[in-house]
Amino acid sequence: MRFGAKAWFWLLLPALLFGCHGGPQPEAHIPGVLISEIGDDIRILDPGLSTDSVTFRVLTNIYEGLTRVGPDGRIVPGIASKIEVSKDKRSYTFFLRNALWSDGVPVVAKDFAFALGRVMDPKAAAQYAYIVTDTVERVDVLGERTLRIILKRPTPYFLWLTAFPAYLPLRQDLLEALGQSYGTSPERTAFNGPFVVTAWKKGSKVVLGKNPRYWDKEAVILKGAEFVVVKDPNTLVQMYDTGALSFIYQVPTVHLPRYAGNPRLKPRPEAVTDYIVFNLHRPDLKPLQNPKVRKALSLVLDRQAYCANVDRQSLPAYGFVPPTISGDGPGRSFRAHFGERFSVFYDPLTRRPYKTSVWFEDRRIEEARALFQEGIKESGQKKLTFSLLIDDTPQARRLGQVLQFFWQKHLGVKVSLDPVTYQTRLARVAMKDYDTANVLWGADYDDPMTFLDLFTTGSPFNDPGFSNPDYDALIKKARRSSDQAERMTLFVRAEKLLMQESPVVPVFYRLSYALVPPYLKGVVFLACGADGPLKWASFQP
Amino acid sequence: MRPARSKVSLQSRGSLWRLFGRVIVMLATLWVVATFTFLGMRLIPGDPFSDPKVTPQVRENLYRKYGLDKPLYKQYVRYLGNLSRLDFGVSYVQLGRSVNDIIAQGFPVSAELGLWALLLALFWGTLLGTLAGLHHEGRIDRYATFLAALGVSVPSFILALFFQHVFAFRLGLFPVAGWEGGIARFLPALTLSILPAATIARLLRASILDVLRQDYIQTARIKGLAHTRLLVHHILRNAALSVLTYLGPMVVNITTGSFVIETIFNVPGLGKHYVQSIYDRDYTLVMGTTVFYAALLIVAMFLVDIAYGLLDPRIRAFGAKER
Repeated sequence: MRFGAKAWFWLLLPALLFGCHGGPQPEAHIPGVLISEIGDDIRILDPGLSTDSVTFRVLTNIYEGLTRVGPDGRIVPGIASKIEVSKDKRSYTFFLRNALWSDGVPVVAKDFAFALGRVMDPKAAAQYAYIVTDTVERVDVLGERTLRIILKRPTPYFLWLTAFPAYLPLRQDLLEALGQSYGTSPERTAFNGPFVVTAWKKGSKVVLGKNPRYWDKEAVILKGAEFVVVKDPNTLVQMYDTGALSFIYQVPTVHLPRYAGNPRLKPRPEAVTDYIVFNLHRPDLKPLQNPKVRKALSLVLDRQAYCANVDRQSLPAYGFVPPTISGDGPGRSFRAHFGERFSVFYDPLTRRPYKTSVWFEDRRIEEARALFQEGIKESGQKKLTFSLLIDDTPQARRLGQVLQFFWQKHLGVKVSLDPVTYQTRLARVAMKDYDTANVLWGADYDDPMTFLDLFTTGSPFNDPGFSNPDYDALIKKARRSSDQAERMTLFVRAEKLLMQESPVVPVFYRLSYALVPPYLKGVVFLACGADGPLKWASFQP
Repeated sequence: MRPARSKVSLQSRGSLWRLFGRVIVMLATLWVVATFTFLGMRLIPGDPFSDPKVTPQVRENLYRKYGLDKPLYKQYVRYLGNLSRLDFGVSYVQLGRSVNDIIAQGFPVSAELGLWALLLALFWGTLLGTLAGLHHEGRIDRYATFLAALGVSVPSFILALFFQHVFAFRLGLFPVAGWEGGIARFLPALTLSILPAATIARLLRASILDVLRQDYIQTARIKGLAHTRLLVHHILRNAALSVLTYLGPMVVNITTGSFVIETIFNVPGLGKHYVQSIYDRDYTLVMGTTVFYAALLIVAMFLVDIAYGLLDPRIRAFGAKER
């Protein structure tokens, strides 16, 4: 007995520690079914009430709007087969094709009008209501298959919006019959997209099958798709390595170094700017109300070193709008085409170049010191110490320490870090209960406006409490204009002014990556909105 | 055959009263837990709708929809009212789903996982503990003590990653994660069982050593009692008391889900909601899961007290009957 136990132990130990890799083959899955991860369970199968990117990724595959966003962010036809735009660009008439819901009922103009009306109704408490109410003035049903939407002002990106979840159609009969429980399971809704939900195992996975009633079903090659809830980064990578996933939609930060130089690593466009916001309404922090001080705090940073050597998954930001946002048309990056001076920065992992316009250079220590002294003197205070509110994550803490280092070393400013949980940070910034904070903003739609209108007077997202009549006027003018060339000029002027005044200081643009095997083609990645449509995806061995 | 008892004996009437008193104390404990959770949740900054994209107007709509615009005492009264009907309300984050539904979906999964782990833990814990106790200071004792020390001190997420890497990734015997098919249950159950198994082994070893020193064991041995009978009826039965104290809360703990293990192995159980709901400030879900957990814990401790009496007549609490 004694010998037996001991022998077993020594016999098994090497096998356990160094056992050969005899697991399942990496490329084994059900043929034609694409399996990928979602970081959390989806919340509801109801586009009007959804807000999170995980739910959006599933929704874009099971519903079809008037339009759809395709490869490279181009608008492709959806349920609308023809669109007429009035001369003043405020009236859009959509002519719907013969399309069916998954239960065989025709998709009609009323489904869209009802959906929009419900999102705009305060009683529905839709979190994305403003994306409709800011733009849409009126919705008219002109016929069974004719819909007219009157806009509050010309909106060049409107056909992008009509693909956004809040604009997706909704069946009045189903909502009224099901009430509160609408969309809580696949039986309690109907679909009109390339796929239908065949099973939603709560907390575990969402299974999609091909929709036989989809209007463009010939274009859909995949037999189905599965979205598996995977929260742990190690589990995710090991699932991919053992073939339990077809691809990784978002490679976890901790595992990125492992894939540096791997041809399967694909940059996924992401429209997120990470920046520092200064509270401009703190009487005890007069120096922060001085643009010279804020600018000095920005000029002493070394963004390029931080992005290339410390963070390794970001691009240095010398303007507020990220490079993935389109300017005057799909595929025409605002950052790459509009500005005064341009630089090229490289993705640290894939070496992909990004041409970006820059408003300033950093690492200008002498200039920053002079500016800082001037600003401090003007503010009437002698010294400056403040706290920096950051998220309680390793990445945010790291950035916080880097900022602390630069500010202390070059300007002698003592900064204390105040790490809090995400929800607490949001609440404290919203209540203006902070000195300075490190925050992020992600695009709602593919236009520079989604970043630049944040800092207009009275905007609910104006965290610094910035107010500048010239800035307000520029944005107001851009809002009214339908001429893309004029809008771009106005945006450039607005951004320049924003960088001069520096109520916020951009630090970096976030980069994000998918791991896509070479035989998987046609997965579309978009910078914002409902990302990851699988309509055109296929396996090509 | 015993004759049917015609009237309730004095002793059991006393224990009925004690039972009643105990139930009142249990309900009061639950009320305290519910109240503290309710207030504690409101004290942390943020709310379920502090998403960066939510405008004040939309937040107002959401507050009205969920009744959060009402004064706090009204919300509290409504919450207690719902609670008395065993209705935990609707989740603010998982739209349209009731908290009861979320618990009803997650708890069976966690409970199943917990029961597998419990069986493994009892088996290994009893085996190791008994062997170690009976072979005190011997080689088996040293091995078993070492293993138990390891099991108690290595955190579960390290064990989870280790088992996942070795058994799923290297050997390919089990899926890396998931909850489909019986085979997927093994790794999470194994990971979950290590800590209780080690704890049971340590407790059992210590109390066996204690029991072995008692006079009645010597007497029984001298009387020539069979070894198995001595072990089961005299040693284990008395040594089990210490394990039992631990077992009550442990069973509740292990069957209501572990955040770490369910996250690593993608188990759709209840565990993740304890932590995630607090991050999300999903008030109703936080309160639902907390009160649910507290209720189970209180009931389990109650059952432990009863089981004590079955094992040890000296501390019999309820329903003692004369033989």
